Amino acid sequence: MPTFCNTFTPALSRRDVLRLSANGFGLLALADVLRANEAKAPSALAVKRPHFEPRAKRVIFLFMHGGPSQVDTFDPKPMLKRHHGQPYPGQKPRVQFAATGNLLQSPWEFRPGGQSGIQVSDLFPEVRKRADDLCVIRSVHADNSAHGGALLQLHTGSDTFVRPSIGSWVTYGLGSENQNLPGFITLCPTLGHGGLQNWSSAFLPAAYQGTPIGHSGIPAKQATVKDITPAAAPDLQRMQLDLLKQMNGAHLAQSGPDAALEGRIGSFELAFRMQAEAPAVTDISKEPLKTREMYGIGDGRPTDNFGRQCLTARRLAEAGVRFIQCTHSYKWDQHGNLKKDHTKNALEVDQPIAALLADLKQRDLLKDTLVWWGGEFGRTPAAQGGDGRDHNPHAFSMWLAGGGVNGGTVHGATDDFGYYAVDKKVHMHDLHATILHLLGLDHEKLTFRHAGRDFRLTDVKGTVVREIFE
Amino acid sequence: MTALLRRAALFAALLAPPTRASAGDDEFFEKKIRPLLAEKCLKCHGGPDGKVKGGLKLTSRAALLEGGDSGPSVVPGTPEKSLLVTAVKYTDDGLKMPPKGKLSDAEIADLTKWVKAGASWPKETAQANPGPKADGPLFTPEQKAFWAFQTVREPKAPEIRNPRAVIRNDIDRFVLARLNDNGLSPAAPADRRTLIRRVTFDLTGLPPAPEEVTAFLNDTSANAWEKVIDRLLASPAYGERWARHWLDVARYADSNGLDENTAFGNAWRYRDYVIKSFNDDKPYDRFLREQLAGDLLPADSDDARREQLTATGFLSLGPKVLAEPDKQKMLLDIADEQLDTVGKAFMGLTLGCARCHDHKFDPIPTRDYYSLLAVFTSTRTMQNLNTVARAFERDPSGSERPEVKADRAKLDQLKKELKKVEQEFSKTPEADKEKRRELHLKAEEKRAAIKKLEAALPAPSAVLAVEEGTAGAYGTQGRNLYVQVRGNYSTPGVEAPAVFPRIIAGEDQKPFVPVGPNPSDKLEANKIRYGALRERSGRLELANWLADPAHPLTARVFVNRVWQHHFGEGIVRSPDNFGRLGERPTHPDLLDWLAVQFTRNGWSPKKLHKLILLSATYQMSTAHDPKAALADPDNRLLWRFNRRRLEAEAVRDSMLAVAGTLDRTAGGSLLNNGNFEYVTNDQSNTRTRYDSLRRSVYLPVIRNNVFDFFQAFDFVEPHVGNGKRASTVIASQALYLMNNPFVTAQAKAFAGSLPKGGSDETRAKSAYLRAFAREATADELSRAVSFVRKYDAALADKEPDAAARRARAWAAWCQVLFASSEFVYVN
Repeated sequence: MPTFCNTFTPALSRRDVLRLSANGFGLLALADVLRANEAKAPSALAVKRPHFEPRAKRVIFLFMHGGPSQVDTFDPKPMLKRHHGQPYPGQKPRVQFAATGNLLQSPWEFRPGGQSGIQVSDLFPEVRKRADDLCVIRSVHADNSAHGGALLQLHTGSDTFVRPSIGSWVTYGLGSENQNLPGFITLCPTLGHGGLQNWSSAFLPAAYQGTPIGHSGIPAKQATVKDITPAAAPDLQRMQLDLLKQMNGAHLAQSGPDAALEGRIGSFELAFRMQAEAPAVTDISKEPLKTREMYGIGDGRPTDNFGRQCLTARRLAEAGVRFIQCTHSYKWDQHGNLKKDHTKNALEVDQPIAALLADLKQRDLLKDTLVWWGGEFGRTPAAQGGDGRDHNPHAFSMWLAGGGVNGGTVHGATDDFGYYAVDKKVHMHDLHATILHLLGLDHEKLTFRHAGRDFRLTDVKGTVVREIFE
Repeated sequence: MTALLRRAALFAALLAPPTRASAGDDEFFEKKIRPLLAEKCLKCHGGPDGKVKGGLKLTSRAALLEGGDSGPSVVPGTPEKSLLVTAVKYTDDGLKMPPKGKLSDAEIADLTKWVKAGASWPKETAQANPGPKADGPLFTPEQKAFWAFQTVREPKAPEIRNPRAVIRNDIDRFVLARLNDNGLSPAAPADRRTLIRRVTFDLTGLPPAPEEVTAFLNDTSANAWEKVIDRLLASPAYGERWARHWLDVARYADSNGLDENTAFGNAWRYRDYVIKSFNDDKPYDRFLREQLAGDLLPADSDDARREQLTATGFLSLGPKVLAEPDKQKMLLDIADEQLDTVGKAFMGLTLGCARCHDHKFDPIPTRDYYSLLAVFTSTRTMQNLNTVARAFERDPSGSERPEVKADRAKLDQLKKELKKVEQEFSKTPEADKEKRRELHLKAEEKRAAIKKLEAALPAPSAVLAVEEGTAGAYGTQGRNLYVQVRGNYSTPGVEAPAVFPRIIAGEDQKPFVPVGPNPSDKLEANKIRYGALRERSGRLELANWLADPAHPLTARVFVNRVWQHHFGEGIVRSPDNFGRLGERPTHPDLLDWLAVQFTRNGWSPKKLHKLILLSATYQMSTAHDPKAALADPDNRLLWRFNRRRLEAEAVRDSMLAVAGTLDRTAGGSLLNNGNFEYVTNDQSNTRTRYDSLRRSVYLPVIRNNVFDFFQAFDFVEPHVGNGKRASTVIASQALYLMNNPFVTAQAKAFAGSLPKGGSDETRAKSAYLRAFAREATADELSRAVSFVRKYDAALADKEPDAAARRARAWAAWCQVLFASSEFVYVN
């Protein structure tokens, strides 16, 4: 069975890649993959031509784990205020995560931002200033009302089966612009709610697996790539590698032509360079103080953790990484303490996100970098207790910025209370199809043959939302 | 909308006379309905694009009456019973048409009116695209003739005249015949060192010990090779190695994975069962029956009963969405996962593809899928479906020895007595010191007795296991299912009878279990529809059907798996897919011949190994041949033996074995979590540890967070059964071998275990024998010695202690051996 049946034309040969690795930027090439038995195969990460002219070249996904409340952030609902404390007049969903009570108004005021005047709540004063960059989709909906299923659907399209992550699909479809970096990097991901599955390449080749840097259990400050710290001083390790190279060379000569053995020799040299240079790309200490300040980075500051992620994301974007994810881990799940905890959460991310948008723009990177913000679902307008909201996959807000979308616009709408998406509904499959489209990929053509059939990120669904394109 | 359709719609609209039309009129149809269908429906339902989604055409009245996968789309005169009307009203979550946006209220009203008036269709001849009616045969002749569904017949081994290579058994004749046809010759036999290293890894996953190599080299008897095979097959390491191959297929893991990653605290018992089964050379038909229906097989002893129950853990181990809010979907998803795993593991068929529509490539109609799915929806797999759900466990100690049972009863009694004494004590006034003292002593006595008894009793040990479903067990009583159109339970189609896949078992079958009428079988909104009551689930019947030597797939699929693990590639190179999209066998006759030998030899895996290993084909070298490489670069004809990289487990186990640190303790659990406790959580904390020195097969397999060493070296993705691993070369493997503390620790241990006295050369020599099963050349020895000296010198200003410096230099050298290609590849 073919394990790799990509039909795109590679722009770089394997030999090119090895040469590039040797002379070029020389970073962490975790996925310079030379698959065994594929003597003539190009590097899996070689740049591939998209299906059509792309609007965006890369994606930065700012994932708000837990489910931020749409009616408290980007989807103002005056009716909710008016009917506060009354029962929801419509039909609650057939399958609910938990029982909810009466309607609960938002504790936050909404105000217009930018020229466009998009309404954003007081939770996000900094992001509100960038309103003209945002395309807020208020009518996103998905299928699963539990975190695990919802995270899996958000990341992989399926809440039931093991499927490749969207980052893996994108990298599979486009390759990476930097052969010495993984094409898909996830910063401080969570190991809960699907864990590895959320950045897994599943049945796609291992080269498209997301490379985690740190995880949500440790501060972003301490995040590193696995086994990147040399076990011995460079001169000593060099001696080992020289002997190894000689031994492996002799072994190869005795074995006859063998791409895997040949590739293996190269992989050690690459690893040696990587461990010397990898920290450079994630080392933000070289950034000017002003920049770090802008992102809110600083010991003890609430914005330090997410600020570091956002700044690292920008550096990775500059370095040509295709898909970058930052995770604000499992904080947004306010079944109770909505007021206090949503305030705290928003404070941690508001400034870093605004800084990222501004920074990308000033570097002229925003035009072809798609920034995507949101959680795995929204929350119910009906209350849980007096100060909480339940999970709600039937309506939530996500926004896109840069990368060829119409800034300063709002797409779709929810009902009067924000319980269901009603107008210009955008299912998660539709959003996936749209993101792929912005990257120049046709979601119906980006397929991989596995276990007897061609798989897609969008399964048999997905409609591209063209209205939001520039 | 295409231009053509637009024109058609416009044309239809122009044709419509400007008169007031009533719903039964031709005019009404032409003015309101036909344009509507053309504009909004035909793109997917029988229009010029040729698409017929859901099997439904909206091109004629007949087509509407016949309907699609969901049944008739109109009931003339009764809009409320017409799916077409339901669909456009957007009231049914699972059926909303057109999918891209609701029709206007006026349009919906028109359609409703039209159906109510009888859904007349005036110009029957004007219909677009009349398609053939689907009343032809169920399967095409091509499908029926597909190789994998044909009965296995024993082919005669081809005669080889003037063979240019050694023939040791019929396997060689089949292979040589194909090589001869293509003008190729097999590689020369491998030397004995290569052979013993190859076969030892193959059968045990460990390198041969130097004395085992020497013994084989010095054995001049004619059956020296056979003796090696027998020794290895008898070693407990054989089961540890080959169980792991099966565990890949069985998607074995110690945690649920998916959304809620809770521990399977008893999964290891299934793993140990598989190891024991291979070591016992359990006949494969038995092995299969136990895993599917061990709970239903007669057991002649308590041990057998326990073993058989444990075996059904195979069905329980799948990943499940444990917080699925839709409990009916959850029930179906669990059964689907089981059926899909069973299909791939035993039949090499991707049955799961037929959940939403007839299998696109293989002759598996949706109805056949639901026939089998009902076996698993009639089986209890879960304790309950609550959030967060738990897998079902059974405690086989019900049949414990009478004395153990008596002891447990005694224990209960003692605990009751203790409680009584304690109560009495608390009621006794403090002033009554004597009585209190007396009671205190009595209580102490009881406590001691309880402690003693508890220590002596075996721990009650539950196993992950299934049982026949009941109404009380979340509605799993034996019942047929209805086909679920588009995989959606709220749109039931026809009832699926209790029959086996018809492409194999025939179109004319009696139900495999007795069925009776189901009084509560009716269509209810948003509920799974169940049909006839089944007397039992049919699990045992399914197991027996699969384990029949006449089944065309069971033996073929298994011998192919065994062949693949010996040669690196199967005769069918897609071991889990024998269907149309799978690969065709490179040696179909050989596959059938092996399948026949296998069943004839009582389904004995060990006899099958021996048959294969005794062939000259297995004993070829990996030598490169430019001519053959050009003609057959993938080595499909087997002109040489395939060089292979060791699997993740074998890389790790080899380091431990060579370093002399391998802990050979067998069985048991290394999981640090309690049963059903979270193994990873949202804060990414985990208590799983991998620092044990035991064989890799005993390390926990944690879904969503697989051991990083395993991840780097292409371990199987444990959510899904998969019989073939990738073999990649990636830089993270190099990083691991260079920098991971496990590797440096093992290199240090290896260095420390080299002979203390004697020369540097002696030490290097001994290391080569242990790591590579061969003598080092003079060149290699001198390079080793000079490396150690150089490294030692370079450490001079870092490490003042000469002995420590020397030890570090040797450790660094040993690490190079671990990282070398020769160490991780087998010729």
